Amino acid sequence: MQIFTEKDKMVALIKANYHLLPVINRFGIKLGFGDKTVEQICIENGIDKSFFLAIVNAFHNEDYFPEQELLSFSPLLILDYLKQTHKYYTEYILPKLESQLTNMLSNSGPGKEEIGLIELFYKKYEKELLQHIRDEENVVFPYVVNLINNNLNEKRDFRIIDFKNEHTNVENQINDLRNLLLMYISPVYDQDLCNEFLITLSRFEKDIMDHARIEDVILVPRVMAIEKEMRG
Amino acid sequence: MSCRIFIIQNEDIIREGLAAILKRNPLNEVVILDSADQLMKHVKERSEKRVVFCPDDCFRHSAIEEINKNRKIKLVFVSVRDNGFIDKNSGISTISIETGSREILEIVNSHFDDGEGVKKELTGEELTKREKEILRFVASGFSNKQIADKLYISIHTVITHRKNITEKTGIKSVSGLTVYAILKGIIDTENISPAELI
Ligand SMILES: [Fe+2]
Ligand SMILES: [Fe+2]
Repeated sequence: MQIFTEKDKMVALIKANYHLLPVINRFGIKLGFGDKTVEQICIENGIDKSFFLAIVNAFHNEDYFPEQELLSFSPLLILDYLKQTHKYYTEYILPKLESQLTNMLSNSGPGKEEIGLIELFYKKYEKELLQHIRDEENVVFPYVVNLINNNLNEKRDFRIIDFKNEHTNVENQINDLRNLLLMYISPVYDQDLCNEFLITLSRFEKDIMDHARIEDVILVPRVMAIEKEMRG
Repeated sequence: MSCRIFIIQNEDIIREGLAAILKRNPLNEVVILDSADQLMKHVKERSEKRVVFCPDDCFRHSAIEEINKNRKIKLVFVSVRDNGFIDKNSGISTISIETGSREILEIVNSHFDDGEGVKKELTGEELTKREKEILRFVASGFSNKQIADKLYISIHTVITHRKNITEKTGIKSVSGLTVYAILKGIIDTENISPAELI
């Protein structure tokens, strides 16, 4: 397992794992970093370097999940990171998947009814995911911010446990989309276009699993601890 | 790779019986523990996937939460009072003395199957007649409970069927299964458009 440290060059991180590019973007880091180290870049950009390292290491190694470390950061840092991730999905990944799918559909031969099913499936998933994200941003995240500002609103009976219990799985449909294409849909489409779609999809799958893990295993216990403190 | 299973259980009949059932799968490695404390020690030291069978009053509530946080460990309560069920919130299964051996092995398998553990290949096997029947209901939006009532079977059986369907097809979500069912002609779309079903 490769664990990055503050002394590593930022460029080495990216060379080791290209999928970290959107992750570092979420911290506001842009390319062109010469041979600066993680520490230097974090200082320049006003980023908490231990938080940065915890996030990139958890993303890079599925087996490495520094729960204890991550639990020590302010929930506001975590929220900010989660929001940036949502933005990446809604403004970049989803439109991209959609246009790749449309492209695939319009370049398909006879018998494209089957891909039409895929499009219906995708549209439904997209709608559900957007609702999922809206709920988090409009209800859950503001609740956490309020809580930190010492406003445990006793009148509203929402608690983070309600989020935990209702937090739906958003990865299953990605798995299904992939398997439907790989196994069951007749290949009447342009193969290159389909490959592009599948590659975007698998990158998204990894990203969103990491995202959900941070929500479930980091955000929830952290907020529960604060709730407990406040209510004694 | 072997599947490690711990049993904490005072009653000989239950402990020995459970161990015998679990050992039917040669991949399963059964370890008997004397106390809950021993398990807690294990939990702190090691990080591989495990399934733990124990009485439902074996741990304090806080200890259960602690164990449950570790997603590599699956707790299965053995209850002498209740029937078998799965607690949706905690994901903890409870089995009773009436639970069949197949189901017990299934619970263990499913824990070691998903994620990084022993990855079972998609079987790609044909669905059985019964599974197709269940799939038709699932695709038409019926809940597990409704399906159980319609077919006069237990919810547990419905869940087992659904797990097998997912294992065979590689499709997990309801809308994904609906697409599969349409593709395979398991539900016909003559009278209802796919857009309404998916
Ligand atoms: Fe989210
Ligand atoms: Fe979420």
